[in-house]
Amino acid sequence: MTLSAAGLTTLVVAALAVVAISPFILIALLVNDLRKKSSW
Amino acid sequence: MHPQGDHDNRFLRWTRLSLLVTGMLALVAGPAQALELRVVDDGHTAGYVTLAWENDGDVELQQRDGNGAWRTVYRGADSATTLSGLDDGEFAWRARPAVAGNVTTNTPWGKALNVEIAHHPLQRALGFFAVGAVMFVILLACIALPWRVSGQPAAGGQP
Amino acid sequence: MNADAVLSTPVAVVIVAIFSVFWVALGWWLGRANRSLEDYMLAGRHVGLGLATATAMATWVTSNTTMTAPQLAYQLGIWGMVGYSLGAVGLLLFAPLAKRIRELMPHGYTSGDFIRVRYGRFAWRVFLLISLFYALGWLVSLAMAGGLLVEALSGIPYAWGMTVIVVTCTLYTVFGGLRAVIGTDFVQTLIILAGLALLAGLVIVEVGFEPVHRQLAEERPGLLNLLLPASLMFLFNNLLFGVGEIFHSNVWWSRAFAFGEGVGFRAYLLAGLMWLPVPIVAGFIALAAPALGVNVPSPDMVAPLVAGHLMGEAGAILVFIVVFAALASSLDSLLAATSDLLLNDIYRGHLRPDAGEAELRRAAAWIIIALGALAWALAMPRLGTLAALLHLTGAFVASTIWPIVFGLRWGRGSGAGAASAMILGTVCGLVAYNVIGFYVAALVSAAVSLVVTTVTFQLSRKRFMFSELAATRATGP
Repeated sequence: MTLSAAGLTTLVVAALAVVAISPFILIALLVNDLRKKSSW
Repeated sequence: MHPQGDHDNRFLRWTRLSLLVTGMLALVAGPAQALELRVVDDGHTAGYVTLAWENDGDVELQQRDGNGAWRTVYRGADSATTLSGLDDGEFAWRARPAVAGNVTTNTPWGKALNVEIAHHPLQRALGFFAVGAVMFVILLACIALPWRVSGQPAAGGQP
Repeated sequence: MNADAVLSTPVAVVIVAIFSVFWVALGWWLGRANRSLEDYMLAGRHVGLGLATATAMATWVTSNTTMTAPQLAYQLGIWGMVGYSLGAVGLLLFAPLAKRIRELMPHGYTSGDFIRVRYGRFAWRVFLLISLFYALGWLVSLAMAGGLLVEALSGIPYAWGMTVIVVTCTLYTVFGGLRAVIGTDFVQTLIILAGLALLAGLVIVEVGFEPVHRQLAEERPGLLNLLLPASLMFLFNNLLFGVGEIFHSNVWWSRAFAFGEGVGFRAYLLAGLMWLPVPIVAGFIALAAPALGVNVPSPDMVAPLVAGHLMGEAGAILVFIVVFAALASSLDSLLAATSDLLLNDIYRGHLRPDAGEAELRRAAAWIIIALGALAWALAMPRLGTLAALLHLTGAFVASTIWPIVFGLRWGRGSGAGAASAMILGTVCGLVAYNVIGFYVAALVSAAVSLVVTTVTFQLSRKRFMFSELAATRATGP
């Protein structure tokens, strides 16, 4: 049973999309916390 | 998450050590020109192996799969390489000093190093897989099922 | 001579200097608001979702995630990197526990507090032994990994690289406590994620999926095999190892206490989901090596080699900064959480039960310094055997999973039962490690511990009152 090129592409693109978007989610969450003054 | 690193290094330390010692002895005894290969990371049950050698300049490394023909897998100045994704079977490697670039030289090949790649039987692998899977399901059930309200004495207590 | 040192030493020295000063300054600045012991140890107990998610993620991304995930991809193929990414399961499953822990023990400080109140002093001591052995093993191995990686990447001598990393992390943790750890973790997470995304993106643009796959199928078909036996065997062992690490370690419990009300569950869940793809992205970088014609003398260096090949010096600098951030974000958390355990469970629990707040606050700083110094002293001789100790800890930590999970969920069970589950699990795991192999140590340990915990919970007549946990801090040890 072998992973196809399409399978590899899907796996990596999905993973990369999450990794690339994560910093923006984290910054948005932090900004939200700071606005609510609930950071510390 | 950290602990998965270098399992096989440790697992096969003794094999590696004995190979290293043999390799060093051979290096002292053998002709100065011939390149001696040694295994520094033996993953023969997982289909990978790291080979190393002593060299001053460029080397050419060839691989033979079963009784097939020799095929060049590396040419350059490094003194080690990792082969991986190997199927079950007998593999052999040999190396010799090579002039930089693609010019083939006439220096003699060193002694061939043979490694038998033998993956774990699939059945054994699936056995461990199953035990792990059962425990994972129990764990998942213990954690995902609704939790009691805190502060209450726990009734029932059926694990 | 292998082309390991991919970055010139002067450039590396400048990077290390800039980042060290930056982390210490940031830690000091973040810690200036600390007033009480609770501020120092637990960041005031109301860390928000953004910082909470980032700190859980960054701590779980160690230097091994950025170096070993590519190595496993290169050695064991697709399952190597996907299996490694299942380490995220530990974070995901801890999410409901974090919620439960904070509700049950709103005033708790450490994982030791829970075991002591729930199972009594004997089980507590067994647990502390396991916990401290693991923490010290991880600390020393991180310090050693730091020295080795910096040397391999840049040529800076081992002793210097290791010393700078340990001293930097110790300094900002002492200055700022958990606030400094969490604040720096946030920045470090951004660096790690952006660096990895950039590298993987570059591999896709420069090489593309089709050539990577074609070269693998041609040269190394085993790496694309979905039924590679060795990888199947590692899978659940690794998963349980990770779960054992997270469930017992005070690194994760102290965060459960520090996160604001209602934050823990979402933070751990999000962190797990964000961590899951990281090893896959890092691993893919390694899979491009054959297509790029990059020779790999030492598989743990495959990521920097590919980066250096694609981007030259800039790639090497990028990997160096990512690795440095990954190391620091784990080392600082471990220093803070382990010193909390030493302060709360050893200093206050065993040596000075009547210590006041001011004394504890002073002791906390000294314990962090002592712990940093101990890790430095143990890492200095560069003994490979010490780093190998960490691999044994799989047997130790996996034995704690069931006493913790059952103990949080049900009222039955006894101290003797929990202690024997941990001891028997560990012993059997160690035996399996030596007789069968490393890849079953955590699995066997967890299985034995599960049987013992289940039996002792069934037999016990005792009913634990969970309300006892709520008063943890008021009564003290």
